[in-house]
Amino acid sequence: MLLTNLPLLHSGVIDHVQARSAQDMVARRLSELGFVPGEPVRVVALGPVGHDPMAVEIGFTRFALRRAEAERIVLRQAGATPAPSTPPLEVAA
Amino acid sequence: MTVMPATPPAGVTTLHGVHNDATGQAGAPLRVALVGNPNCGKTALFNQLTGSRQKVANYAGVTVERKAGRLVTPAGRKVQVLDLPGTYSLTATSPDEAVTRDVCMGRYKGEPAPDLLICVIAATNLRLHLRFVLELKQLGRPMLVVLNMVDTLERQGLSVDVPRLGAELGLPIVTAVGTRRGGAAELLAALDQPLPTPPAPLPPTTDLHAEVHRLLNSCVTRTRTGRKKLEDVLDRWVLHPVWGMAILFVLLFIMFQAVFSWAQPFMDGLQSLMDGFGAFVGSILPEGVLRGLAVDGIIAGAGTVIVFLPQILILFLWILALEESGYLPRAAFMLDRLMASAGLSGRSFIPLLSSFACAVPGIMSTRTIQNPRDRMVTILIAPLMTCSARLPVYALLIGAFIPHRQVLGVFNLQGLVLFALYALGILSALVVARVLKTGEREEHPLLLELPDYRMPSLRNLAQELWQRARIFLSRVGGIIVTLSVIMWALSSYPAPPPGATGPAIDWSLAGRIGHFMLPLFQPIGFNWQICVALIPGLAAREVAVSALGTVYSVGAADTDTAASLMPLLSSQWSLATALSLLVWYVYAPQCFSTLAVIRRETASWRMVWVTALYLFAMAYGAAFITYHITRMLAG
Amino acid sequence: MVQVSVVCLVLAFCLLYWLQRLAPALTAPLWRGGARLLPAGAWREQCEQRGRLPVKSGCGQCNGCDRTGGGCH
Repeated sequence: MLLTNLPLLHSGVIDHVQARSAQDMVARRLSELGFVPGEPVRVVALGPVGHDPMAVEIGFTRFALRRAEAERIVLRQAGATPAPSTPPLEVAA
Repeated sequence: MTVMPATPPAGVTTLHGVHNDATGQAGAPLRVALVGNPNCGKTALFNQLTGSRQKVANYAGVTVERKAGRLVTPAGRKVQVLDLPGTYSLTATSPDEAVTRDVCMGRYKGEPAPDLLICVIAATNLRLHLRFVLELKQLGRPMLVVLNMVDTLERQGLSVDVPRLGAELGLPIVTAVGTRRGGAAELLAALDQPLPTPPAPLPPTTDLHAEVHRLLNSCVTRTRTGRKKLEDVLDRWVLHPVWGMAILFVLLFIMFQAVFSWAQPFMDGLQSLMDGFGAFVGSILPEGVLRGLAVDGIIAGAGTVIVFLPQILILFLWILALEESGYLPRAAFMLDRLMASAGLSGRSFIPLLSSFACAVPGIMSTRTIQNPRDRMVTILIAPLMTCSARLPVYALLIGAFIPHRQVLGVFNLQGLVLFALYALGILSALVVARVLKTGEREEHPLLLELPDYRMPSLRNLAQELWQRARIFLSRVGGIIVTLSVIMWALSSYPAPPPGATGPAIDWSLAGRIGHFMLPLFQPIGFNWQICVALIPGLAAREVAVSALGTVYSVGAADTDTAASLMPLLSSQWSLATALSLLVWYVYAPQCFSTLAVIRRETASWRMVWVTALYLFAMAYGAAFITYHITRMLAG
Repeated sequence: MVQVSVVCLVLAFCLLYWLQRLAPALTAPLWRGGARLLPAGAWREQCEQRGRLPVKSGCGQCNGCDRTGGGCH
């Protein structure tokens, strides 16, 4: 499941970030910003037109991502769990 | 402050610099650099540390703003502080971030490596910011960590074991509250200590994120469960597809309202001050060329521009307040889709908004756009946003030609025309961006952090505003005064022969240039007087109003040139000419400063020519169409 | 006469200012010449500094920072 499939105010856990090429700067920046395996993410808002961009919360931080960027983020199959998410401090398994 | 070096991993030598107690006591000041993620409160801390002893310039050879300031520690040690642009990582994706990377690594030409790196991290965002600390630590330079915004920990229900965090990091750490008076006391005391030993780098294979988790788990405890309440509640409204848009439009509406009505009394005051000063200088200087130069050249030239200071400051105040409060990135979020339809990203919104004050700061703030092509296109369309310098011209022409009449009972026709001119600029910008971006397949990342909401600190706002005012006034002192002098000389010489009739300008160089330009501008309805006024308008658009005054020899004794010009213009020009000039002003590349800043920001003359030519072509085309359509309709 | 010369001086200064802004390459020889005339000291250093043309490097003309991982210079 991709981050873009997550409904509003639901959370999931990142499985991995899919780089589109060997030099995918977006994927690289995403990992630097903390989008790394095991992190819980939550969708906090969706853009006004076509749900693009989306605002997600990871840890203490909120980021605005376009859908094209969010599509690189693959979530674990456990399925979406409704909010509230796990407290960001605890490392999810 | 305790310095607890981490156990160096096997095989890594930690022999770097030595303690350097003597630095700074005498001779060269200690050079420190503030580094940190965006939104870590670094700038507030910098303002707090250095107060008004700041110097804003550019880094040698690039256009990234270099902010440096000086301070003296309680023990009397002199320190030079450099505020580096915020960055998420040392892998740079924008010119700003490249500067930070190079200065930190000490390989920036013309900028000696700082003696000490002060890494500022926000207590509210440790997970993200600690990763950058670890990345910086790998550089193996003397380094100090400042845990900023510790006052918000309580609100978030968190508690940090600061000494332990320092020990685990192997770095000295102090706490600070950048926005509170005296909030940097610990940092100042730390600067009196000997330089810390450079930290031992972690093994290159370390997973920084895992290390951050380890640090968080051992040093941070949650005192109270519960989510971030404020952001959750506010974002539900602010980022709402309908309410969010409504909030955005209300804020923008109030902003323009503020710029155009609140500034008026201040502007009137400044205007009468300048007029009084001109009259005073005129009375003490003897009749002659010198008086002409001082009164008509320098004072009148600088005066017409200084008058706009209140408008510009109010606009900046709004933009700064929106930025500090954390709202601006959210506005970019709301408008990202609109910008995407023009091939840009929400990031371009912030520079374009600033361009309503003046395209110069707008173009300068495009530095935060990572994609070079997006940045170029944003720079190209920024001059289409109606800047405050165009207002006097619009006001004059609308006042003279558009009847003061109610439309549909609520709208004022004059106001509607003004709004239409703004809208025309914005729409054209979107179209131009779309055209420039056709056929582009490249991706435009948005990847924008939505920082926590913060109450803007008044002290910080005042300080930033003072910086802007200083930059603006020095611009007036340099560019505008010198150009006014040149313009004055052009329109006064050669003097008319004795006994000549008609305005003196007819005989001058400027007058001749006006007549020379006429064939080019006749098709769009301009007369030679307008052509003359266009030239000084190159320096600053608003000068065109005073230039028209000179051309129509409205007495300089009149305090309000615009008021006496209005009836004159409406009797001499046709409606078609007036509308054509208005439309011309929406597009015309009439501002040397904008072109100069484009040259500086892009380091390419080609971009300058491209901008000037495309704007000129659009201005000419649109004015041509307007002129001929109006003539057909009005007969 | 005094007035005219003052005005000429001011005008010359303004023209030079714009020349320096728009085409520093044209005014560089002027600065170098000035530096040679001046006695050694802070003024001379200032003149020499201005006589040197800016080195064309750095992020001002950076393009491709995003693709090359920031390695543009």
